[in-house]
Amino acid sequence: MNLADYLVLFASIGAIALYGILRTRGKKNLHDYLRGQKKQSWFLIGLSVMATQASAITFLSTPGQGYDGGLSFVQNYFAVPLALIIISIFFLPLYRKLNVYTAYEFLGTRFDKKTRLLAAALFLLQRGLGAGYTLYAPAIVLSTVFGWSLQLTILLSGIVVIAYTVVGGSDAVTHTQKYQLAIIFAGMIAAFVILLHNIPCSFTDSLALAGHFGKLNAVSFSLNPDKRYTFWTGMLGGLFLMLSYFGADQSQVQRYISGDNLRESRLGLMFNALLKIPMQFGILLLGVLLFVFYLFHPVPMFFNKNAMEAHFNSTRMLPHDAFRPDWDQSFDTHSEGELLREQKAYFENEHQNLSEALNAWRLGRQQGNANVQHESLKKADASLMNEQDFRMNDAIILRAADGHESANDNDYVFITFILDNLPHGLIGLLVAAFFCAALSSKAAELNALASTTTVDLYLHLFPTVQNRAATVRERLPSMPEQPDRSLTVAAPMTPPAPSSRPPTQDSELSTQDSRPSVRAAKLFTILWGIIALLFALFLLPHFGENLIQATNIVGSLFYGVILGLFLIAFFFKFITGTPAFLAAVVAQALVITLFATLNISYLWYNLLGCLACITLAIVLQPLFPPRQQPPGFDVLPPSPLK
Amino acid sequence: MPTPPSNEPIPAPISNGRPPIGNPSPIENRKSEIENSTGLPFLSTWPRLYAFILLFFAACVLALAWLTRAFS
Repeated sequence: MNLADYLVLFASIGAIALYGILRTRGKKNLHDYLRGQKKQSWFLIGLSVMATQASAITFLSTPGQGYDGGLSFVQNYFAVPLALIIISIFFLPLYRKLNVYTAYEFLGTRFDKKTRLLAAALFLLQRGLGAGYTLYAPAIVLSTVFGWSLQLTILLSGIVVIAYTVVGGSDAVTHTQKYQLAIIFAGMIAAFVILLHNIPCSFTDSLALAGHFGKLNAVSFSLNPDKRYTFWTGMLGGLFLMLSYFGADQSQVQRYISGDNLRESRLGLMFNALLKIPMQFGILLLGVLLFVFYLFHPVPMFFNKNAMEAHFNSTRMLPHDAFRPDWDQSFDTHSEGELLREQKAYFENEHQNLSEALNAWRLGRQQGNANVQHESLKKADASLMNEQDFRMNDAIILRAADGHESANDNDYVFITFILDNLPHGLIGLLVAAFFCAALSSKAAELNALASTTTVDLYLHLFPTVQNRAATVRERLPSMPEQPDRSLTVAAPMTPPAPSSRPPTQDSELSTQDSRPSVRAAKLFTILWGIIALLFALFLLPHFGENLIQATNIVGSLFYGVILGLFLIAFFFKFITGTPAFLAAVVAQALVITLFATLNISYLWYNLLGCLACITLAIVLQPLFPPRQQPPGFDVLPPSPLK
Repeated sequence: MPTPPSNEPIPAPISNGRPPIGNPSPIENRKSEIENSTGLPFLSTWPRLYAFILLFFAACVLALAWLTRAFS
């Protein structure tokens, strides 16, 4: 980066922050802080839903996933259109009808307080664990640009994002996301064009090369359960993951319940149903083209250059058990710096061979000489295999040298390409957009964590002025299993007179009396920010997956059970709170046990968790008193296809 | 074909400006009308829009399957 880039970078970050603050100043009630003003058009909702999922992690990490694993990851998103249609038909009308702040309020209305608290706790646990990952995205950008250590940049990003969220709230996230998304898309299109321009063969030849090296594996119908991404894992496991993510994850629900009306919210979801697969395909294809680009151009042995350079001149000796058993004994007599330099020399030599073989292939293709093409590709295969072996050795040495350094450098592939190959000025703008998108995504997550903690836990455990009346209301009816109505509008048995109607949640939370709750929400934002920071600094570096997969794995462990609770609430009207609660606890324990013992694609845990929760609840229900619902209280929409 | 005139009595006009209890108000009717339509020119009902999205999805999967086979 040069001076122009730095000027553009700081000016853009400043402008985005200022815009967010100006758009949201003077917001003092809990409603606005948590849910934003409820007047958003479908386009803004659609962008917001897209930006919440397709965050900076997606744009940083997914090209790296494409570079390493090809197009297969696109199957992870196959169920998105179906899941969003189901949510649009069944989930969304209910959330709007009940006027909920968090998705878990609905469970309190349908079941009881303990089931609501359990679902909220599961969400908080998985998001709290996953929150650390979203801090990695801005930290990776900063550490690559400035050459600072990852730990330092995680700490700095964490502090900035906590301040941003506390100052801005939900609306700032939405208003700045659309501009960040626009800049990132523009930057990705520019990167795409520059890639195509710099690859020394045609687009079709690039695809042919990518296909030869197994990178165009977009659809696989394999039934092997060990295989991580297939059509079946995407359509079955992925359906449950996406249903739960979009339908029961507060960070998403919070985005689309803020629509002006049901139609705007639905259209916002359909916007994503249509665009998600093409968008993910485009980002993965960018990664595949990066792979082809680096076949012909010099490639770093390890894309996380800072991690490599930190050990490059080290004279420290590494323990023998850190190496592979087939390695030569002479490795014991070399320092870590010597080992890395040696591997780098071998690697660069092999990459030179690879480029030469592929240039020969290119000429053979131009001349239509099949023999030359075949022989060149054979040489290229051997060179690429050796190259990957040296890369793996490098990762083993780095991991042995510093247990905190992740051996997975996929997340650094795209940012490295940007810094090395894009025109100055655009680099600064793109880095600013990545950084701000990473902040926004983290802010949305912290916002969701804070709103769930405030509305689902804090306002229950510490009733304040505005919800004291509601708590009294909840104690009035006597039923075997009392639905939790402390924060939702009670469905009236007869049309009430305006004066006798209990105050709605909106009016309760919109009053000036909700200031203590806003303070609590801000405190919870800070608390979750600190927890995310601690996870990112001390726990997550040992996980060894790239960001986009790691977030999906953590989510898949909890989403199935959360979704199971929601599906019971929607479709199994005879099941009451206690069996649902017990089923969810047992199903969650089962999923964790299976994850620790089985080696199957993580997407299946969504399906298993959901089915286990529903089946157990059906089995347990006869042991408990049947549900008694007051007349007029029916949470299901009258006609699903309206 | 034009609909024959109905013999049913025309409901009396609402004198107090409010609809009878139990019937949806004009505002609710309008809201329901807005929400039952997508507002899109060729995909005006929700089932049509959903069907279009599912067809588009099927086309995407077929295109990706072709890409996998053609370049493997």
